[in-house]
Amino acid sequence: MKNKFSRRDFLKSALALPAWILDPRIPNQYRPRFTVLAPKGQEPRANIMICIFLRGGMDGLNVVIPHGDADYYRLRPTLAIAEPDSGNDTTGIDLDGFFGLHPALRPLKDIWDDKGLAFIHAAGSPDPTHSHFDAMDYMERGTPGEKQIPTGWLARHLQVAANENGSPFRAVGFGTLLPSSLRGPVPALALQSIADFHLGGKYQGDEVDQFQNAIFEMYAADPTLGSRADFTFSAVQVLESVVSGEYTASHGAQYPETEFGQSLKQVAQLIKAEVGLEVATVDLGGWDTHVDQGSLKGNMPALLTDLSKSLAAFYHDLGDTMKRVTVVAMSEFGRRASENGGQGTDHGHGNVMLSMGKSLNGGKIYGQWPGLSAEALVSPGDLAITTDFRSVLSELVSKHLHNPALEQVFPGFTEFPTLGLAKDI
Amino acid sequence: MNQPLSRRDFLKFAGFTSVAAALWGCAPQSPSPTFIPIEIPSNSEDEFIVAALRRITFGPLPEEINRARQIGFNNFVEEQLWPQTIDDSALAQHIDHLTVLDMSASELLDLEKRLQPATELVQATLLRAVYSRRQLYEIMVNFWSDHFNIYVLKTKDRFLKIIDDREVIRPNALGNFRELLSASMHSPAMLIYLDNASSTKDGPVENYARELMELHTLGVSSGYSQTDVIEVARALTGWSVTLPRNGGEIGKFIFHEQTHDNNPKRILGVDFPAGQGIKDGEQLADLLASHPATAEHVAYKLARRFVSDSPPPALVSQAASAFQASHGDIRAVLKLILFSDEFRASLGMKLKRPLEYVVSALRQTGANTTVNNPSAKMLRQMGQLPFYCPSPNGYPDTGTAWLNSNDLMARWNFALGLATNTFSDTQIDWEGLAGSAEPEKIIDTLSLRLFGNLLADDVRQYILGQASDIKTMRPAFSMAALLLASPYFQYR
Repeated sequence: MKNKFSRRDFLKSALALPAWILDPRIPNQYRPRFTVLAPKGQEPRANIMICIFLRGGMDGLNVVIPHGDADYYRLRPTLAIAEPDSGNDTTGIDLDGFFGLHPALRPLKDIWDDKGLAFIHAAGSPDPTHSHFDAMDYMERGTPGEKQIPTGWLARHLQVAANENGSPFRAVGFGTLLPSSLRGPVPALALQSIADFHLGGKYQGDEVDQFQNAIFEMYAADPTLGSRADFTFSAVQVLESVVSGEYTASHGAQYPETEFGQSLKQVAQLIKAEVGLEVATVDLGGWDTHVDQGSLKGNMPALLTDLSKSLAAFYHDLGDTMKRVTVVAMSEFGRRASENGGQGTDHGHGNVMLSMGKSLNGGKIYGQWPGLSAEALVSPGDLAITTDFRSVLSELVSKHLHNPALEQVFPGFTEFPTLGLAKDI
Repeated sequence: MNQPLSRRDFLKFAGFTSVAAALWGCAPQSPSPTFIPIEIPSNSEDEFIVAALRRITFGPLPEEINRARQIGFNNFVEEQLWPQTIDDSALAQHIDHLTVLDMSASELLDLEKRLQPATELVQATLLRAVYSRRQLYEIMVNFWSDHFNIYVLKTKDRFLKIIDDREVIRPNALGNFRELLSASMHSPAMLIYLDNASSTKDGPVENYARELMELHTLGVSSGYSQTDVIEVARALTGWSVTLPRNGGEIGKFIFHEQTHDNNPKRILGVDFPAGQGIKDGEQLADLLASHPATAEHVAYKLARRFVSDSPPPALVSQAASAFQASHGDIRAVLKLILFSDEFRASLGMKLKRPLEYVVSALRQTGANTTVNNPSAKMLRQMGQLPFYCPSPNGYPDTGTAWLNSNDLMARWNFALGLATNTFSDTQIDWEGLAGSAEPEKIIDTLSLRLFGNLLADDVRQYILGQASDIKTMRPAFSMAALLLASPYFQYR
């Protein structure tokens, strides 16, 4: 009756080859080419993508400011960031003579100069919805205007990328709820705190192992919860075997003590521990700045500070590992080109996307600038979209993640990537 | 080999009474006087009642099960729908030490500890969920708090949400939807949270207008346009809140005639004549509350809460009709749902959200708790501390949204913490609850307490076996840990 499975068995089941490897219907091009969960240091390893979702609709016009566009200043009498004036930290930081960074993004300027950072402006999801929840859902499922496909774009990528990777850390969503981008047949781990992710919590009596066995066995019989429990224990097992002790960032990198900063720090920890991470999602919310948005100080600049300090810490911490790690950040929509009566901005359309890593053609702003003149704006006064967000993501999926099955990751999408954002390697 | 455990029949069902009688013998040892025993269900109606009460309460107490058995399920629901008729004096001793619940906005603003109002509101909400006998009412308070979500840390909402809870949600939770909607539209906390307080004719802010239609009334796919959003925003310009810089009393609803857009408007095809002033908002409330899309939207959400993550369309449609026919009488809609065959057929199959998990564990074990930290911190780790959802759609109401590794791990750790009395804010008299030193009696008493029924033989034997294996803990504690952490206790 009390046949215990050993802890070894956990690990074995966690790392077993997934069934698709033997599935003859999977075309050769999608068959595994990378050993992800191999002994430390063994090459080649699959590249990694970190997807950051800036929830609430980030005001891209005040992130990468079009200081060369006079309409920007006309439309935003109180919120606009002043034209770059070198040496002054209350103005934009010039990037290319036309665009500039919000001064709160100063920590990213080195990375831009290092060609490790790129922006795609006037990008976004072509569906015209101004609803946060529909827009986020469309973007995370990668299917604008289409509600029938229940899986997320990252989940579909993992499903067809077919790397030889049974690790429970293959896909990790930081936070208490998994984002819809990770919904799909490949299980993803929801993780908040590596330090808290073990059975027992505050209670660490000798019985914890016995409870773990019993819980595992009870859940094994549950058709809905069983596989989740199994998966959760597998992750605990891997963490116990490879991640230990306090994590110290390299190269003097300092992560902010924010939820976002600490999440990125844990992503770096997982990457260095080589636990088989392929994709991770991290959220930063609070961008719905209808009132009191703040120009140089206030709500949005505080978020930009968190964003830039955290990203910079991550980049410097990982050092040359950033050659196989690409960060991409997006938000469900941009905000209205003109400010409203509450020193804020309402929901808009086109936005800026960010990408960071050492396999990018960085130091460049991609996309075509549609302008902010009355004729150029789209109803009811929003920045137009000239680059579909799927163009950006599909280029990263094909070139960085080496997954050619774009038609499965973004069903119905036909604008094949031509940006040149990712290096050909 | 793993035990052949099977979730669907983890409980005993009718027809086992002879076995049960044998288990209990002629004179079962009396449990300690604080714990009222739950009788083993003797027929299928008894089984239905415990399953139904696990759905319409945060986890039924023996007193509640006994009451429902005595007067019948439908009468029990009727009684719960009129909460003032239910004696709730036992709750007072648990929340009397909280000082902020009756304070005015200016008193709250003057508090030295900035987070005290938010912290005490969370605590009061959890304590009411655990200790109030007006359970269906507290469930509905929770439902509307999600529906009309306000993030308690958004600027002045750290104190204004107290007033929204007290004057908007709680008085109307079982009342009329039109009145609830109107109260929410006038709620200073809501006007701050969704930024309408700053909306003027010269610069209308669209945030509240959009969510009022998308989340509070019509639903996202009901066919309103961006133009409707802008027109609603215009209709609500000047709806604001008195704040220190305005002088006078703080944190009250105010209509600023001079910043209201008095030009004519057209919303959802209906004309709003010029010069209506504050009456624009009243006409809007009528229009939205009586719209068929609102009935459908609210009916869907109620059916999802009480029946299934994917509620049967026929039931939703009937509930929407009941909503329309009764002009938004929340009790009428609830009765239609709770007295339906679909409700009966769905019992035991809905996953608890983290809040429901935590509260049911505290409630059904007779915990003595202040639901302070670390218990509340555990709920926060699971991601569902009341009023801490930043986005206006509130916490998700489906099991699949929550069903992940972070949540499961936190639930198991909560179970272990409770069973070992590790949380300093919470104590459970496990031995008193078990009422016996004999493992066979303990397991049955605990099962009745947590599930209102005995466990199926294989599950019962399995847990007895595991508990006897854990030699360092007394069986009442180890069995409690196993039952609370089990998959069985994740459903309601």
